[in-house]
Amino acid sequence: MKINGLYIDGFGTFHDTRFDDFSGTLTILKGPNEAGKTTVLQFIRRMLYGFPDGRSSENQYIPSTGTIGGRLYLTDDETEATTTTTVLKRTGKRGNPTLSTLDDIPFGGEAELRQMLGKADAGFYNAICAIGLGELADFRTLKGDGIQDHLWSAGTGSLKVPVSSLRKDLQNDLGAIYKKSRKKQILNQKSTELADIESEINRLELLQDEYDRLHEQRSGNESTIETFENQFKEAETAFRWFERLQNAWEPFIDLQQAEKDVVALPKVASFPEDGLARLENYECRIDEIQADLKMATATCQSCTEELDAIACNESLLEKEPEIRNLERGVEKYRSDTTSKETLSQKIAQARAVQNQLTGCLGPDWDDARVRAVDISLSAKTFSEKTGETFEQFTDERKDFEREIAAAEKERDTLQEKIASLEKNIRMQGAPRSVKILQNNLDDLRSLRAKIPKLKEYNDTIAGLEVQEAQTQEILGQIPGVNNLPLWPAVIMVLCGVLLLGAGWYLQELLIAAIACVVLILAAGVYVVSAKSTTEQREKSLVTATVAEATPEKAATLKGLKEKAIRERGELNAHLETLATSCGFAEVPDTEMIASYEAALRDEEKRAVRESDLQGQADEVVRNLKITETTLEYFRQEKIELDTGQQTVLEQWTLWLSGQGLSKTLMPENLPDIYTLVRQYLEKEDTIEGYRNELINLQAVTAAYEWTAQEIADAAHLPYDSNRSVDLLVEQLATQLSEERSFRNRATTLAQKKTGHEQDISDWNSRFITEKERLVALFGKGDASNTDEFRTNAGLFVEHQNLRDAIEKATLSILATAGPRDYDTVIATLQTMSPAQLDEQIAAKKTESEDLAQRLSELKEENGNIRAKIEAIEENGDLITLRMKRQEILEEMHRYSRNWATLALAEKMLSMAVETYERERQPLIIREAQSFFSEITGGRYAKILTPFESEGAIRLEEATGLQKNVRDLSTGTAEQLYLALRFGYIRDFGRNGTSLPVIFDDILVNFDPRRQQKACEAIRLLTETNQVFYFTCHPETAAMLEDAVEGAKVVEIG
Amino acid sequence: MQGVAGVDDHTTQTLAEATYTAWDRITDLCLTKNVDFLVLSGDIYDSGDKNVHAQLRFVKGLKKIADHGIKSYIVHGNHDPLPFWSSSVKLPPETCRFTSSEPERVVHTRNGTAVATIVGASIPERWTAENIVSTFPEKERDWPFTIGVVHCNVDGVAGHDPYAPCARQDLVNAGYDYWALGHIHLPTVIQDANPAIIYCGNPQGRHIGESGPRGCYLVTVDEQKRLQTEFLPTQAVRFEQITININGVVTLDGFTDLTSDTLGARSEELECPMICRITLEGRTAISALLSNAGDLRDLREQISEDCRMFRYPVIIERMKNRTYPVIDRETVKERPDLAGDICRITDALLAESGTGGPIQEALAPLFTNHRYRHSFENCSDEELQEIVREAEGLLLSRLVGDEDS
Repeated sequence: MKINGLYIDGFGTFHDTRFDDFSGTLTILKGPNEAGKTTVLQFIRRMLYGFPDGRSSENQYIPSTGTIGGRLYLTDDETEATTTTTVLKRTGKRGNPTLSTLDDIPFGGEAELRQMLGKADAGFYNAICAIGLGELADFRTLKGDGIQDHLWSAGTGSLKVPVSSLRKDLQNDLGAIYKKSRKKQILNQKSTELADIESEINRLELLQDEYDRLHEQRSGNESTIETFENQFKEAETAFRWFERLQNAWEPFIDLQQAEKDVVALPKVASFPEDGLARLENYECRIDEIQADLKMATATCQSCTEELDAIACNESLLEKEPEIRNLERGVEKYRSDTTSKETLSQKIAQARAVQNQLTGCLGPDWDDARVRAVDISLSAKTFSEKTGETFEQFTDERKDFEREIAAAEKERDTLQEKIASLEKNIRMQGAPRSVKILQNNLDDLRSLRAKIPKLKEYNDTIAGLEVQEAQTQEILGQIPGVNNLPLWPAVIMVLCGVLLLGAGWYLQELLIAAIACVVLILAAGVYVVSAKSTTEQREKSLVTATVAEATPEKAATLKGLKEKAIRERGELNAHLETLATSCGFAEVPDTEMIASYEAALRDEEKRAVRESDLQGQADEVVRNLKITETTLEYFRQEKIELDTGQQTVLEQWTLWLSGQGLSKTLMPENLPDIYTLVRQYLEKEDTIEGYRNELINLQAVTAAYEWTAQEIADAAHLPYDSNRSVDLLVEQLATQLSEERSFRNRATTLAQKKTGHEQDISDWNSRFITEKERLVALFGKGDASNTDEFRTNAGLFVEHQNLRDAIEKATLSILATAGPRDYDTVIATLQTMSPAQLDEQIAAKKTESEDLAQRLSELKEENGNIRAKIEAIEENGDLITLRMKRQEILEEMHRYSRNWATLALAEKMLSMAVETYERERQPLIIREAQSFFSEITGGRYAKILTPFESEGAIRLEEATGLQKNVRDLSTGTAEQLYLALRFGYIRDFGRNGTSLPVIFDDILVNFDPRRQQKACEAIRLLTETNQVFYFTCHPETAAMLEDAVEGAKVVEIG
Repeated sequence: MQGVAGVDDHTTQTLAEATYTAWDRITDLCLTKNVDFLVLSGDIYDSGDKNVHAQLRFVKGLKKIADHGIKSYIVHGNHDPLPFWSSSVKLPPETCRFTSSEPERVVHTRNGTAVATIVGASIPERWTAENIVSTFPEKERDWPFTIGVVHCNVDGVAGHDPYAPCARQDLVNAGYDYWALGHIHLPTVIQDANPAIIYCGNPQGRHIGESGPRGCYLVTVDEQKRLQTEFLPTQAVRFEQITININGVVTLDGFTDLTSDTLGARSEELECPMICRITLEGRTAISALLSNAGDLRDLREQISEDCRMFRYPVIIERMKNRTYPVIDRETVKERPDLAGDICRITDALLAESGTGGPIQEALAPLFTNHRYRHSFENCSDEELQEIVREAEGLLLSRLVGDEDS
């Protein structure tokens, strides 16, 4: 690809600037400083690879005028025979590139541009192909990964990703999996995890042995436990044995002692069982019997004495029931007595009330009179009714009087009203009737309406006369004009009828009828048109012009005039009639009419008013009559009422007399009287009741008193007759109670005495019995008396006690030793002392306790062992852990394989890179070496190693001396870098696209000779690439121009 | 049972229980099929594990069938020689354990009638080169249906230790009716009659190498001593190796869908939970992605997530990428560029054998580490070559685009 020319629309200082016809080999842009050479360099770069982002720190080269961008004219360098020029255009910073033909036919964009540029990206181009002094001097621009990647890919084909990027990825992936002595990497972590699990597995694997060991240990423990338990049982048994001996020691001693005493004690032949107790018992009973006898005898004696002292009042006792009755009735007697007094008081009070009542009735009222009053229901009813009647009379009278007063008042009012109305009527001045006046007004209106018509008639007639005269005058000058006659229509109709008859005759009725109808219709049309014509003529004749004047017109005018005259005459007559009716002598004018009308209206008003007033007066008169009639009626009614009332009053008075009541009493007074009478009578009833009750009480109390006295007499009891009977009764009751108690006491004493006598008899019998028993007891006890018996009893008891002691000791020993071991225990006790026993017991106890302790420990240990065994049996973790281990191993294996793959991939990639560097990159080095040798005039023959770092490059002089790059001067280093670039460019071009190369005054640090050489090198480069050289040095430009055939110098700035 | 990496604890626990589950299924089958007796031909458990819990579970199963009157006849194998069992774990009295290295003969009776003779022997060591079968007595005329139970390697089956080696003819010569053999984990019928010589295999695969159906054999013998054998699967989970060709797959979604569908179809076919190792083959545009271990792991997890929807659980033990980019290797190899160099270097390495040279140099950091050496100790040349090819595939998929094929 070559740049034929360029156009800058706007870029930096350039605007609308064009450069054409660049050389296909070398184009030298010569210009002073700040002429824009670097600007052009940047322009070309950015046209090819785009403008940097606005946020970038790079110089944006924003133009002051024009739009940033422009065009590059590119030619395809593949075929020289047919050179195709492509226009690359960019407009605006974000403008996409467009490729078009010279005819401005677009055919591509970014993709096509990339294709043209091949694999060289901006980084490569800007670092290798289009450089200034800065890039030349900076080795890092050559060393950059992108450059290397592009070299590899550009020089060796297309790669999806940069090799360095891939290498980095591989190293990262490797590092993530494993790094020596690191902990975070996957394999290292897995390894640690594995170690932990294996440790746990190892621990668990030992569990089977532990399991067996625990079983063995448990079995051993169980065997030992069994042995100890047997020993413990033996020790316990021995301990119990000696304990038993110890327990049997005292009974044993007691037994021996008792046996000795039994032998020493005197014997008793026989003795009853419980002899002493029985003796005691018998003697005790005998003493008791004797004591009881004594007491009974004394008691009997006292009863007899007391009984003799008692004397009862039998007569009083015989009256006991009555006395009890009296006693029970004494409270009633008292109550009755009190009641009698109360009743007497009540009767007196009632009498007093009665006296008051009669006093209320009147001073001359007494008991007889009161009783004579009829307070029955009928009497009350009569008085009530009479009272109602009187009230009714009174009410009616009041109503009548009220009505009469109202009627009189109304009458007076109406009379006053009539007078007023009559006065008003008179004031109206006696107008005529409204009807007359209205008729007059109508006539007047008619007059007013028709009078103008008269004038119209006059005017019309005058007009007609004028026209008539005119017409006559005209007619005198023109022929007559006739109106249409009507007789043709008549003929038509006749013809139609004849046709119809003919048709009937000839039996062509239909045709004849049609013809007849047609003729009649034609006649009708003729008549209508004749009349309209006549009317039109008549109208038109009135205002006919000369051309229209006809005799008919004249006749018509005459007729009209006559008609008008006639009508006027009629109207005039009518108007006169009207005027006459209105009181005019002749037909008045409008002013007179208006004046008269006003007067009529006023009169009409008055007439209406009068009529109205009259009507009111009439109304009032009628009302007055009604009122008077009413007044008269009420008066009459009142008179009748009075009469009736008088009658009733007379009846009432008569009735009162019959009742013994004052005649002046009115019915309303009677309820009070009745009340008083009733109360009086009620009191009388009350008094009667009291009286009866009093009588009863008196009878009762009298009977009671008599009974009490009779009893007292019968009992020969002294009493004071003046004393109250109730006190007598109390006395009787008291006395009776005393006598009753005396009698009861006597009865009791007698019974008691009898009882005691019986007891005495019984005790005597028992005494004898007990005595006999005592004697028998003595006999059983081999004694004759009590003392002997007691002595024998003592001996017997002692014997008994000793036997009991022996038995008890024996039983105790048996209980302790058991029947089987009894003899052994006895024999042993006979040979052992208590101290020896104690010693044995202590020893065995200690032995038992030791054994029990050891047993407890062994059992506890076995319990723990059992728990451990169970834990082992239930522990299923081993298989899970093994699985986990295997999982981890599997994962580690997998990661290791993965790591191996990555490691091998990295190795293979390195080997490929080495191969490239070894086999292909030397070609670049050789190229560079050739350029470098050329530039340095053969001083440096070889470039020895590829560059991964600056220090790795070594140079070999022609003399064989090797140097590092660091040892070179700046200029020589720049020459080396330039040579390397030449090598890259050549190699790139060989395997890809040959791009235009731009150098921006890169030879400034070269000495003249090396400059020359560099120019020569540039010449060599132009064999494969188009070269642009920007310089401000004329001599460099001249040198280049001389060196390169076809070089072109473009002045700039 | 060997574990599977990348599964949750519940799944791990399920896998840990798988062998016990298989054993429970065997004992349940004994009850449901109402068998006369159960024959166990060794390697009941790996005594190297020293797992008391496993031994107790085993005994529990024996007791279960013993309670229903079903006896068990047991010989031990190289993995579970008698001395390595816990002495505290006692077998039920109904269990007959052949403990002697000399063949012992017992007669199984039913209702007082002898219905079978079982001859068995157990070697007390983990390994023996002796032909135990040759010491078995020949069947006598009055013996009923005779079963030989022994742990041995018949005709040197590859992939297994030559433990107690014998020849098929040895088994035939003994004249028995049935040989219940142990040692080979894959269910194998050496001979189906005259006599029937059967390795029932292990009832549950333990790792991906033991893929396929696992179970036991139900042997039915009629009165004429004609026998029928029926393989009854008992595995709780089945290992499977599945190869999926993803030729032409251009998107990750297409890849996951294809893989999920393949796994789903297979799991439905097997009708049981499955642990599978997937090998991806073919040329695909996503080869570069698959060559990244992390991305492959993510894809595996995504597919595993899809597998949760299946009726039968599917666990992906591993996904191996054997895919290539869609490139013509021969064309790339001819290129005079880095990619071509890589292909040529690959061929050169493949031509070398063993782990020498660049391979050793590249793998040295891990090879020399004692922790990880084991990953490569048993690495065959073939496997190394596979690694080399993988490395090439990885490089080419990263460096070379499809348009460059």
